[in-house]
Amino acid sequence: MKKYLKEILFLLISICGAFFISGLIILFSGEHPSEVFSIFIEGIFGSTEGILYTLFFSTPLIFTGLSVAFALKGGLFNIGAEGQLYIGSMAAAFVGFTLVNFPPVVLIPLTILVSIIGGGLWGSIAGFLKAKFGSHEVINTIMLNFIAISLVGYLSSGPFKNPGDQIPQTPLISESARIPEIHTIFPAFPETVPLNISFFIAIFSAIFAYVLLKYTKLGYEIRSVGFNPDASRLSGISLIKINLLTMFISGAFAGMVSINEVLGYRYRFLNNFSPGYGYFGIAVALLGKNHPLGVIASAIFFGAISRGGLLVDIHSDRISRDVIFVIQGIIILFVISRELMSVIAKRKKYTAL
Amino acid sequence: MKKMSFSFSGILYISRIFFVIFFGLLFLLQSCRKKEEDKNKGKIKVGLVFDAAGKDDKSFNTASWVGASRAKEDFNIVLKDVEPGEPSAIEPSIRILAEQGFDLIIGVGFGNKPYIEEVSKEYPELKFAIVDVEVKGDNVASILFEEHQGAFLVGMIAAGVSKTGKIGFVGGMDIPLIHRFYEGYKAGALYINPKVEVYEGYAGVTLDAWNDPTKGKEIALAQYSRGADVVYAAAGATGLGVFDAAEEVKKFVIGNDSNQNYLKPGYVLTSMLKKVDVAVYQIIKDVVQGNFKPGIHKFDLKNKGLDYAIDDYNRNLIPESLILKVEKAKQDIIKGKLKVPDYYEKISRNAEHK
Amino acid sequence: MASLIHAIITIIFRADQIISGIGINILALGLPGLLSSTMFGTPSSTPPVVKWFKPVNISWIERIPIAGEIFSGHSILVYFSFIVVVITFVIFRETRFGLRIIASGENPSALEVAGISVVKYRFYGVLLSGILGGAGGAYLSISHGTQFIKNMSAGRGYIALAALILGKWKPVPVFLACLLFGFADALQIRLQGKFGIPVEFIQMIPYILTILILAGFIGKAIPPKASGKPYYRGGEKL
Repeated sequence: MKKYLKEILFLLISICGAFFISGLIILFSGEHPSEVFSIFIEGIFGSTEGILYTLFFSTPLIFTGLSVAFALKGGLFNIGAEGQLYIGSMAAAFVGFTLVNFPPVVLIPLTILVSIIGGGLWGSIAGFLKAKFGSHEVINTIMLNFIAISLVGYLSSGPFKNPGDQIPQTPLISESARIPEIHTIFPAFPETVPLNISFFIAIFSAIFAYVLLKYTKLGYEIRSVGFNPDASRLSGISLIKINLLTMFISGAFAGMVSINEVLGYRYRFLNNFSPGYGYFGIAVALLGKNHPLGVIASAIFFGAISRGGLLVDIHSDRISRDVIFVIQGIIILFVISRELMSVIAKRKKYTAL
Repeated sequence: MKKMSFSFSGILYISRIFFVIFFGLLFLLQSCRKKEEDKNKGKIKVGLVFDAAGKDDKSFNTASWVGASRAKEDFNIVLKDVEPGEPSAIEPSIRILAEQGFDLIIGVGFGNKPYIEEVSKEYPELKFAIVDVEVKGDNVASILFEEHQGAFLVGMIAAGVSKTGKIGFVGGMDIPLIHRFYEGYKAGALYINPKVEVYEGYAGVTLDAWNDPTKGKEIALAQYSRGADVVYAAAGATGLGVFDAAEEVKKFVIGNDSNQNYLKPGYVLTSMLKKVDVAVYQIIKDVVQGNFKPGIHKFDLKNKGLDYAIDDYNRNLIPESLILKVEKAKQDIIKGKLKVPDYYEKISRNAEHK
Repeated sequence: MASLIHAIITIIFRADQIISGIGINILALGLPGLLSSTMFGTPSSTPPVVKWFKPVNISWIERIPIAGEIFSGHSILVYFSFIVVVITFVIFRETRFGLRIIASGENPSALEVAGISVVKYRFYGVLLSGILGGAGGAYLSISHGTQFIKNMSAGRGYIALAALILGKWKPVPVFLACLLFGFADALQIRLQGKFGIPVEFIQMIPYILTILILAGFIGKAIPPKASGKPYYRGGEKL
């Protein structure tokens, strides 16, 4: 129990530290940190819209965070969530705007399935290369990101472009492929927030990942490969199979971003829609300690930062939304340099003596 | 595995420091902000959302910023601009402006189209405006320009000044809007010199193509090396690279949207003026005075929404006889005697054909 | 600057180097924009600077036919990059300093046994790489163009990674690989729309090439053995 408490305390310190440093930057820029932070906090918790927006921003981050965390459990570092989510989204959009005559009961599961397979297959390319040739998945996934971005860029500005539009985007997907927004289920919520039921799908996926890793044979094998590949191979686990499956599932989670972005919100594939969800997923997974349920919490935290940063941008003249990136970057650095804490703690002990 | 050697009390100690500082900062000057809010009460709030290139592209976005700033001085409004920096950030910006109850939200550039379309439906009580593209709705004003007319005039100047008989064109994003510039430019050049050769190049097919000066410079250098001695940059911030290229090889460049003659004196032949500033100012004025009209607002040579720039920076670069010809063509276009080919009409004709 | 933070965190605190690198990348995505917005009022670009590096024309190079045209008239930083390649090559081959940096990557414990601080040399290594990366940024912002524009590098740092692998971790082949990618980029601009191959596919080439090489189709690239691994002094890891 004490161990968990320490972990949580440590994270809180990291977060406060990040805010502290960004506070200094804000001070340097000539605004009052207290003013900026109070806009920040008010924007997040001050209204129903604020809270719902936070959840809306956190939905894709849950998916990509899960993607990164799941691969890490299997000992693979997936930087390719960005590419995988683009491929998954393009696949979903393609099905959504071609099979227009299908009823919702068929079309919604089908588009979700396609996005899972799309993201999963793209992810498993890196898994395959790792298993077969031993080439490092970090570099491969980065390269695959660029290839995926070029590919969907070509598709959305070429063959699948909505005719007559100036910007690269596909036609709208069929009405029956769209999933409902939250206010259709809870009429009390404001209509203006685009939060949709994909948020619940994201929560469900996290629980699914948790159960899969913890209670199934496959989950056990994935974790043991992640912990010690050599020992697992000797105990008769097929590394190729597990690497492939890990990356497939990881890519599938990334591909599921399309449930929020394509099926629940934009109803089309818009080129460059992701502000870097895949990369933020790494931060989310790290902060969530690679635990599927921790990912939910940290995704919501990052969602809140994005929301707050937007408001700060609107209400202050000298602070731009880039403050979001700065806070996130500092948090990552804090979290990974946890030994810093122990070093300082040790030093304090010495001086106390 | 190495054991984590945490000292629990040490962590508590550090965390206490951070907490005290953090929350101390948070509550210290809370009262300041309240006052600020009272001050801005009752004013009309205008939000300006740029496209991928920011307000400092010295071209399209800068022009709209200048117009809005002038309106701010004249009408005592609250003006807030948002620079999304990347396409994916445009939408949350528009949403948050709407949510915060901004009376008029102006989307600068067609990249804003899908979001203005969507958000304007959700907030029928607010007013919206968009530049360069039409968005239908009872609370949306669409500001459109007849770009090909202005491009025609600078095309004439380019061909008239060129000694090699070869001129270039660097577009930002490869889209109908920019092709409309190109077609006008080419027609103008051919009007002066039927044998002129026109090179065209585009920085890309995504919104990032407005913000890639490195690429703009490369394309321009390629065109200069093929013999072009005047290059027209219709490319937002990407165009700034074309200016650098012109200075480097000591050849001419033509600016776009804003008056860019001052950027590289001696190398800027002229600038095609697309007076987004005038248009934006006009829309804000309408809202302040309660005359906001939704629908299309058209700007062309006739109502001085378009023009080309002649000032102290470039007066000596263009021969007087050429300016006379250009002025004549300008009058002919206004009177309807001279018809400039319009790329939009061309594609809609093609669409009917199919 | 950023490489300094990276070095401190990865070497002293032994964090995973890749994660830290990404943290820095995200930070670096936001920081310049924030600083620019606080100092100049707009996050997307800074005011243009005076051009520091005018293109230089070296007369004796100009006189060489063909090659003269290619090699003259570049910014001084371009020549600087050529020189850096040579210097790097020499450093790694000839000097003790270079050999020690290599050793800190290949076999850190042997270095430690020899009584040399691994931490120190890894620190130098990352710092130097950051300085070179910064020089790359400087070329884009103050030599090729005249100002900082948000995201102006457009992934060029990652392409360098590809070049590194293609060049098999050695300075001269890396330089050749960079020339190849640069050539591909320039070619793509000049060939735009000529052969009906969409630009996007040409843009993919460097990345696909990297993956193929990594998979060993074109020859194995062997990274330093201890690359990416935190180094613990003997016994400390237990």
